[in-house]
Amino acid sequence: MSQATMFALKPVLGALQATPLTDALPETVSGCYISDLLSDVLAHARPGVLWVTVQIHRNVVSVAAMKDIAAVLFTCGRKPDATIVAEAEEGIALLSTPLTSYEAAGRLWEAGLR
Amino acid sequence: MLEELSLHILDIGMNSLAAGATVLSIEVLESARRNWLIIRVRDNGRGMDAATLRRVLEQRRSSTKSKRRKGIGLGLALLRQTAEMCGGRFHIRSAPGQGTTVVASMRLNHVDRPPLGNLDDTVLALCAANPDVEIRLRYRTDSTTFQFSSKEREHHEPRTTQTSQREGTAAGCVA
Repeated sequence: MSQATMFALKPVLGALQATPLTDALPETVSGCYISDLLSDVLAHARPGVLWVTVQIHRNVVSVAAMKDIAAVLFTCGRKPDATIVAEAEEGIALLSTPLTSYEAAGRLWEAGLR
Repeated sequence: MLEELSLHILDIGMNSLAAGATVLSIEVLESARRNWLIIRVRDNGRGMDAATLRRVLEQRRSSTKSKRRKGIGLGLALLRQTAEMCGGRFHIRSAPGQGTTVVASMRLNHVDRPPLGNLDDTVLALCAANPDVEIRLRYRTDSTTFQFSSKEREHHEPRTTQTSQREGTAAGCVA
């Protein structure tokens, strides 16, 4: 995926049934990465992506910050604690959806995110 | 991997109780200075023979069609996987009539290390379900020690001898 192709996130929030947990939302993301293993995300996620995961613990925010990930979508209706959301307020958007990671990926693909 | 290490402790504790333990000892060391998180669960239950021990630790990939033997789950195999993935080790010692000791270590700062989770609730659940069993918890960090026993008397004296002895054990298991 080329860094130049940016994908508008807000228009797909409805299709994702996503609820923002943080105030700020990025206008665009550069792509998507799906993984629940944090070391794998550290190794492979590109900057600016939307990260889809079921993991909700504190390290998710740390890894997202380290990799300049634009937004994290928690699937299966999971939501991290308020303290973790507060830590993410500086620059990383957090969202939650009742969909599974697979379903969310399908909706994102249908919406044109490649 | 289970999501929280407390759930692993609960899982091991349930095994111990199912094995007829009357004393269950849970120790957690969380040392930022040495960068280790070590869990040690010891019981005086009936223990396992070598064959049972092997079966418990096997990751039986080929057994999807055959039902698992009752009372033997994936818990220990999952904990071993987690410990090894997080730069640590897993060790279990058991013999018939000798009880069982499980030790799992992992790098405290490993990015894949699951959070400890709610240890209080885990111990509370074990105690509430098993009022006749003595359940001990010992939680240590670099600067603090917390001790609890479900059979603790009003008068509580620090057990310094045991402390130094156990520190030796914890250091030994990661050497």
